[in-house]
Amino acid sequence: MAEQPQGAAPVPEEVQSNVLLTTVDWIYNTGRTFSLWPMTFGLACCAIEFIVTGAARYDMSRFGMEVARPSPRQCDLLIISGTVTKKMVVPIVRLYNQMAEPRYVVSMGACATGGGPFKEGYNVVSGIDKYLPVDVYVPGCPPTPEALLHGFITLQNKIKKQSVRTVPWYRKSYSGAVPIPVLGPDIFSSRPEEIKRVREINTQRMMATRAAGAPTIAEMHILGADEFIVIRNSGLAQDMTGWRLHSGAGDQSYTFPAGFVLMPDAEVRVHSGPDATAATPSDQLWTKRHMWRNEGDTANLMDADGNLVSSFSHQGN
Amino acid sequence: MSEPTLDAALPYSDLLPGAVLAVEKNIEGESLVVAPDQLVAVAEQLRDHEGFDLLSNLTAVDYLGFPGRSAADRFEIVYHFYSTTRGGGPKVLKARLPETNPALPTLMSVYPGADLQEREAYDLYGIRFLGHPSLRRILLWDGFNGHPMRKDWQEAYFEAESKPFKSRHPVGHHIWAEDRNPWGSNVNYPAGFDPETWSQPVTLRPLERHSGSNGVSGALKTERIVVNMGPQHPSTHGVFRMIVELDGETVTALEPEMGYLHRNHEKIGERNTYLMNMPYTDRLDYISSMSNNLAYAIAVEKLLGEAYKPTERAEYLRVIMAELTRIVNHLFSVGTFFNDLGAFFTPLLYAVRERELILDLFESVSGSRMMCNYMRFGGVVADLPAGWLETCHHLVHERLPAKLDELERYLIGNEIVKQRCIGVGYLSAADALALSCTGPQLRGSGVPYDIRRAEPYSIYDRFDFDVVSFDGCDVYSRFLVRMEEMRQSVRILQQALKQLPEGPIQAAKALGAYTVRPPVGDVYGRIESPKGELGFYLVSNGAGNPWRYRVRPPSYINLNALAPMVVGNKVADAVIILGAIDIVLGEVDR
Repeated sequence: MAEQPQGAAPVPEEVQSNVLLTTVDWIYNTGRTFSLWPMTFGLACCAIEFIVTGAARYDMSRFGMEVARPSPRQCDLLIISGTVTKKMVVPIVRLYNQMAEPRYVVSMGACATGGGPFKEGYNVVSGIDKYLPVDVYVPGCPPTPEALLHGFITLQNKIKKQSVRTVPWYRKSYSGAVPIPVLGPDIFSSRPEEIKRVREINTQRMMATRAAGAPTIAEMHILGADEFIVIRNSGLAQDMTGWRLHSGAGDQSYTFPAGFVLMPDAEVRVHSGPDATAATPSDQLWTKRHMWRNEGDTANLMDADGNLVSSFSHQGN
Repeated sequence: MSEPTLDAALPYSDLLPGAVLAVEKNIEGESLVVAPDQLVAVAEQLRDHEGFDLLSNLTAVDYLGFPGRSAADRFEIVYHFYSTTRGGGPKVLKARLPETNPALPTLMSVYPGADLQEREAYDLYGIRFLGHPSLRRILLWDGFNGHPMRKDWQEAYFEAESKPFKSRHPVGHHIWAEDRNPWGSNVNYPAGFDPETWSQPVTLRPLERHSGSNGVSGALKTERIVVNMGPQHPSTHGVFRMIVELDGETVTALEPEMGYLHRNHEKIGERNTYLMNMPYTDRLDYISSMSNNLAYAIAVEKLLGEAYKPTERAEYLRVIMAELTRIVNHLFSVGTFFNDLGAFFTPLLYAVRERELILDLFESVSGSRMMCNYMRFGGVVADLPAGWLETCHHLVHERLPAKLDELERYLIGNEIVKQRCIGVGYLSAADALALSCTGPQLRGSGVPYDIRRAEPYSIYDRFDFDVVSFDGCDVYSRFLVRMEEMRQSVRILQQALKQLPEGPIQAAKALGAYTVRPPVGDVYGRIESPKGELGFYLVSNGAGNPWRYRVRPPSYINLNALAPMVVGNKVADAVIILGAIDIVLGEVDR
């Protein structure tokens, strides 16, 4: 026995032979390894196998994880046992945030891991790891109780290798809270970078539809004394210099004036007939004569090079 | 869909002139096409004068692009009515609705059980039921973009209308669904969606006041509080949520909330081929997968016709598996029911022990403990392995009867169980029928209605068994029904094992028939699953995948009775009343 340091309390003789020296890591990890408390929390089919794993035949309490608790505050282990739907992932993330650290997540079965057979479903999240950090994945649909036990033991081995110096939850900067997703027209994350990304893609998509759009003939009103054709622009702003509106039955053409620009989502009406007037900038006066056949006619819109851009038929009276 | 017969003497032309527009002959029989504004009158006639007291199935079908259909009759609402006193086949009503603003009157005034099914049709198809007291989304959330079961609504991972996808079959150079989707994950936002300015639409959730008392119970002054139970709650058997309003400890109002496990079974089912749906049915009511297989196989075989009639041996194997499943289900249900009562885990441990032995049998015959995927159209997929019959024989003749005696000894006479259960969750026979309840829930209210007897399917007409019913109308009766039904299942099993013939296990035509193409038509096939009436409504357009694939989920529809049963009881009783309905969320939400 070594010399006692100066000022240290004397250790009685009978205790000296009962003291074990070990590292903090070992005692800490052993304690946590064999007291994993899973949450009583079932999602779908896999939950039944989880219950059975706790029952008499498989009896997971043999491995030191018997005490299932329904409150997330008392649990270390969150078992995602089943299909994670968009509607359910919101409470799951909340539950995870409510658990005290250290906390572990086991993704049980094909659905929790990657969406499984239901991946293509519109309400299904393709894997819980899109939202939560997962420690162990257990394959199967559903995994047998043996497979689940193996998953637990894998997790225990992982815990045994951890060190208090390297685990994230003792670092000062660590918060561990996962942002809770929001249910909108579809699920979206409330992370700022996610919001930015959604916006960017949305703008790109709008630009793409915009670029594919063009001025088209939207309506024909050819039966009255003021007959007019409505041309609407679903694309980008278009200089319509030299564009022509052509009447199929009468073989007449109206040419747009030089410098005429049709803005996005704007429309222009081309009037003809005895009562035709052009009151606003988006009205163009063709002629005071009737240009369209009341028994039915077709209007064609040609660009400056004479290519057909849009065509529209009216059945007549 | 055959041509409507234009008969001068349409039904009800004297009583309700103009109510029936046409009579449609179909594979099973006939269905009446009813004018939507006369629907309630016809339903009243059916209920009051023809004895069709059970509105079993109510669903919508989208016929967009179906041959012979136009925008004027794009949607169709299908009703299946049954008589619990006479038994026999259904009365089928259909109402056709146009593409723009599809709406028709609710049937809740005649059959209050239409409630949840109408809400589902509204949620998934956007069909409005005029006069429905709370027509809100039920499986999806408020603010969801569109009505997903419509044919022109595509999911984010959409690849093609039907499987097998060209990208995977027969060569298989598929692209990840995530890569095809512009957002990189399973989401689809409408054009112009901005996550920062988006706000949840506010929907009024009225918690209806069912009782008249106003904050004063006895001498104590109490306050009304609203308590949320679920979706993470140990008593809700999965991800079910109840919002209860309490006066002291008494529940004054209850609002069920579901959809937390809505995994789009029906939409995926329309993309799948008929056979591909078989393993999906396993995951409906995942405790009794064999029963789901059986119901689906029966429905598809009705569509396919005589050539796919199962062989004798297959019929017996199906009955054996279905009855073993019933025992599995009831054991599990009774076990978890005692969990809910507060006897935490011990009764469940006892109950699950025999379940494991039955699962061993399932595993050895089908390869999987829970998701058996055992039945095929025209038979079953595999014959029994060596030694299976001996094990089953021992189980059915010795172990299970002894086990049931033991369970009964522990549980049935128990003083605490009686105190907690008798008189709790009262549901009269008339209410149970009106609310479309089936299965042990209905038989626990004293209505001896069992489809195995009322409209025998498979070979159930050959077996000697009793239809169990208890008329206590409470939680205790439902529990007793389950206990006694296990005994009846053992009886059926004993007979079936004795009579099991040798022979092929699949109809000759069905051998190797992976892609079946049933003739055009619609069909409703149903069985008495452990939880109640499990039905499949299928519409075929002659292709290899169903046009409409609808599951009539018994535990979802039995939830109609939850609020009426719970209100007025203590909050602790709400838990056991829910436990006695025996819900499985895979089937409730699908």
